[in-house]
Amino acid sequence: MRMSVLTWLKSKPEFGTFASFLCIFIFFGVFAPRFLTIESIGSMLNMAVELGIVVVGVTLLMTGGEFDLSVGSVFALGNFVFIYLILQNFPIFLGFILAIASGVIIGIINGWITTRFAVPSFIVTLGMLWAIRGFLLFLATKQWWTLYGIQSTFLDVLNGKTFIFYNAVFWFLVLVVIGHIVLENTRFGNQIRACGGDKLNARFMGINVNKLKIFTFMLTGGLAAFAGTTNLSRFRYFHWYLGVGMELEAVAAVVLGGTLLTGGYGTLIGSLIGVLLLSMLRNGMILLGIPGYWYQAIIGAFFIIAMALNIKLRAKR
Amino acid sequence: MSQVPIIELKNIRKFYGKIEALKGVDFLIYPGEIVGLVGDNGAGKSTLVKIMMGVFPPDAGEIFVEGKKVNLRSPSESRKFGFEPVYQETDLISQLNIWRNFFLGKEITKKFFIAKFLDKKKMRDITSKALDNIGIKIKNPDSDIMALSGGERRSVSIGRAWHFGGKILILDEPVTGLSVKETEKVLEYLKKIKKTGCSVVIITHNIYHVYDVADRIAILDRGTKVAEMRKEDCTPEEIMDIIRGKKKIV
Ligand SMILES: Nc1ncnc2c1ncn2[C@@H]1O[C@H](COP(=O)(O)OP(=O)(O)O)[C@@H](O)[C@H]1O
Ligand SMILES: [Mg+2]
Repeated sequence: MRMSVLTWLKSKPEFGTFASFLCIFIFFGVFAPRFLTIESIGSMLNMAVELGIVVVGVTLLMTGGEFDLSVGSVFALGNFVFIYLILQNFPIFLGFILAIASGVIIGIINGWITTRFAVPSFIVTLGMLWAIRGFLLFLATKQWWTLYGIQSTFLDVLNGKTFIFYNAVFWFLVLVVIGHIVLENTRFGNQIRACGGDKLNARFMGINVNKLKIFTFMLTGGLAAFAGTTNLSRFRYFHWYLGVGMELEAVAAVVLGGTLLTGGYGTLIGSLIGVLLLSMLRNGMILLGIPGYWYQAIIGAFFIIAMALNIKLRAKR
Repeated sequence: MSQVPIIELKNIRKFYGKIEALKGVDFLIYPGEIVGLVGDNGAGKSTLVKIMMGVFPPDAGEIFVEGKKVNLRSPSESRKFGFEPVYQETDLISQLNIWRNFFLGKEITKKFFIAKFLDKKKMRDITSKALDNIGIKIKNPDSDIMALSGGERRSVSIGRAWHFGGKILILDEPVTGLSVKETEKVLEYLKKIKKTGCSVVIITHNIYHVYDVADRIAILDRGTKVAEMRKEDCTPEEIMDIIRGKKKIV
């Protein structure tokens, strides 16, 4: 019986990442002081959520065989639109909706160009990454952007602190569950997987590939902007540099989790583990007192090793 | 025949850039009939299939379904009319398991509050049963497509077409690339399908594959329909001669 549980676990594409997660968890648990405290676990989750919310969209998109390198910029855009509208005295809820809408619109543009002109999404969204970032540089570097002194229940609910967790942890987990159900248990999920697996074949069987793809780009853009709004609610200031590099971290978390870089298979549970793994590494290194300039190098080395192991494990199945 | 054809294509033309793949082809299918569409490679057979399936529109010509003029704008429209394809060059999607492939685009859902979710159990059962019916033994509908042989994959595609095909099955080179044994098996399926009264179009470059089961045979040559006859009116050898261009026809 125990054997069969292990076999079952091993048959899951998330297994490799889950195993690395456990090993590293145990390693830090033993060697990093205060790693196993509630505060530390809380801060691990808190560090993970914004990236995590972005990753939910990116997982669906990559399952459908596309990339979105603009999510970091869209994240910043969501922050900016939200703070700009609040400072213009817009009703905060309306500002929130419009901020998300800005991400959705970017998603539609990404999806439309990708499908209409058959430009690879890697290229389209790379251009979009620069375009949005440049736009923010132009607009947002002439003043300080802060919500200092503004009281808002809406912002508190969106991402205030409850106990030791920011509320976005809750939104993130809810989104993971919804994303998982969508991918595993709906027509949309089945057809997204088919598009990612073989889009010509999917089209030949009657799937409206372009419509589905544009929709997943919209979803990805909307979620990236939503993550921007939760980020603003937490930190209450905006800087044009927010979210730089986030797109690659998102891809890293997604593929660490077992989603195929080439599309056709995706797993939200895996992505959840992938996101937590990255933030646990950071948190553990902080607690171990490793100098900050080493983080990237260590995470980079870990990423390569973990992926090599993952791919090896999968080939064995 | 005084019946209305299920589908009738009139004067269909199709260009790929400068290549004219179909040069004004008429083609029709009556209910319950098995039609062999034969011709050498490059004759335009697959192009005709894709037009019937709505993969792309013809550049000229008209399409009638049960007497009514239609535009087939996408494969999902053609599937709604009850036309089911087994394409020549594409196969199942290897990242999806058997039942997910089987029901792709026709997934069964059940309602739960406001949302609709896949009815996996039902789809697994139907997949097993449908494949069993046609004589394909699949242990587990959750199996990876990658685990199947070429012949088994083709069988799953044909089983799928048969299950969903209300009116016409369009099989593009269903036995090309299969071993002798697998070919025999697929031809067995075709005989079974024939008994159910569904119309079938079998496309092939080898007349011997369809001669047994076909009622009528149409021959395409470089984008033109060069001959069409009831099977009784010709021998397979004569048809081979026409395909090879040795014999000119009526
Ligand atoms: N996608 C395409 N692009 C350009 N030419 C094509 C394409 N598909 C088919 N053709 C050309 O159209 C003609 C008919 O092809 P096809 O319908 O595949 O023939 P068959 O199925 O009878 O072998 C051939 O000359 C082929 O080279
Ligand atoms: Mg062909």
